[in-house]
Amino acid sequence: MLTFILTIYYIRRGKLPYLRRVLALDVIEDAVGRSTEMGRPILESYGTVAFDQFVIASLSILSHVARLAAKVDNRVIVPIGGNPGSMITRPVAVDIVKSAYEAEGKGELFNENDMPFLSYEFFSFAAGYVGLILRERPGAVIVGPETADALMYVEEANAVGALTIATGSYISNVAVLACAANYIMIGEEALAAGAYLSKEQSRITSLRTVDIFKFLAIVLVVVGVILVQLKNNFIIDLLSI
Amino acid sequence: MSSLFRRKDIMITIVAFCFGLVLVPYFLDIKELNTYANNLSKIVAVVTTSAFVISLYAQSRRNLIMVRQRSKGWPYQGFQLIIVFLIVAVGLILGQASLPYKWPIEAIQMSGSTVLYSIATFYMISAGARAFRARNTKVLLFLLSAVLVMLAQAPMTELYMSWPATIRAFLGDTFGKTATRIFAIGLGISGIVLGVRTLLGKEPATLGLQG
Repeated sequence: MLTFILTIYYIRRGKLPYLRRVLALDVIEDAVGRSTEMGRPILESYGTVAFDQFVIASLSILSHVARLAAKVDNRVIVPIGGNPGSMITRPVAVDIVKSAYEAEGKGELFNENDMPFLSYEFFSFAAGYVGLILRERPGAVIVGPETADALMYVEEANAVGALTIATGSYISNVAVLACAANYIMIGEEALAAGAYLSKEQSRITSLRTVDIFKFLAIVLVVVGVILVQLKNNFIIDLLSI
Repeated sequence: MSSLFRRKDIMITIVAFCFGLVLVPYFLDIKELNTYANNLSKIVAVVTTSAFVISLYAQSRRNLIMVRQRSKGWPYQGFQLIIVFLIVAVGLILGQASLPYKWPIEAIQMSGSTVLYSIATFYMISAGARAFRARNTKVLLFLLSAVLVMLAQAPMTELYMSWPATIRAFLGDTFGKTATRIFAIGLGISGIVLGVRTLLGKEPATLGLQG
């Protein structure tokens, strides 16, 4: 509840906090430019499940990428599927890409066939996704919050010479994606993408709450460690309520 | 009518109302609100099921158009269409327990999935091979830790020396656990903040709108 109130307070206050650079998000514009110069499309996915926090954040990135691509008359290919939930998210994704092209006055460039629903079976989707990378040879591949399949996409993208940006949304994936991808968004960086890319003051200010709570968590950890050494379980009891 | 539901304020009101309907009974035990929250979950289940049917229709329509226009890859689209409707027909006529219905799923689809999962190993090796380059001190530390952890994971190591296991346990219990917890804390708080932004209409992409 406190997070809720603090976030609303910071959004209303509108004072810009210090914002650390997220290289994986900053490089998106270059990735779109690079693909266009190479005469290749951009391939982006936004996750396989129905609406969860990562899918919501990835849709914000998709919106940004689609708009950048529309500006330079490029295509955005969005493979969809991997889970029955993706059937619900697809119409939203189609709307996002369509309205991005329309917002740039390039509505005629939007092609729904560039957003194929591959399969709701996880690995059938993965096979289709890899096939798309090999056939279309995109200039940049932005891999959304995928699970076991993420590495396949990043590696295939590397094989066709694409620039890769991955979302490390699961801790078990982070290390391997950090090795394989050119750029990676780690955990909360992906969730902050919508606010970060919008450059809109009221959205960016909401990120202050995350810093405050992380600082509180650090204080709790340090105080907890000291108290436990002194045989005092106050913090442990407090957090077990 | 549909344009009314595409208005940002209407969409956000509906999202906020549903959010409240689910959140309040979580904290307060009000019987009526519990019933409404349960009904809302049932509505979501019905919408999800309907989405299957709509998706089947939309996908078939798209495939048919591609076949008719002889677009790139149309034979595959045609093949997909035939297979989908053949399996649906077999399931409806012979039942889901029949061999002709189960065979394509168990013999083709399941084995195909297993093969793809196992292929992930080769992708891991390929990614690992590229990562094995110590370009700076940070990467060197990362690489050394990885080698020690891998050494401890190998069954042969356990037979001849015990120290890699101790180092692995130290790395996992200190740096590993810390990183996992920091990751979880950051994700949890960022998730809530993202939710608040969505409820206030500051994440328009979620509603299929431009920011």
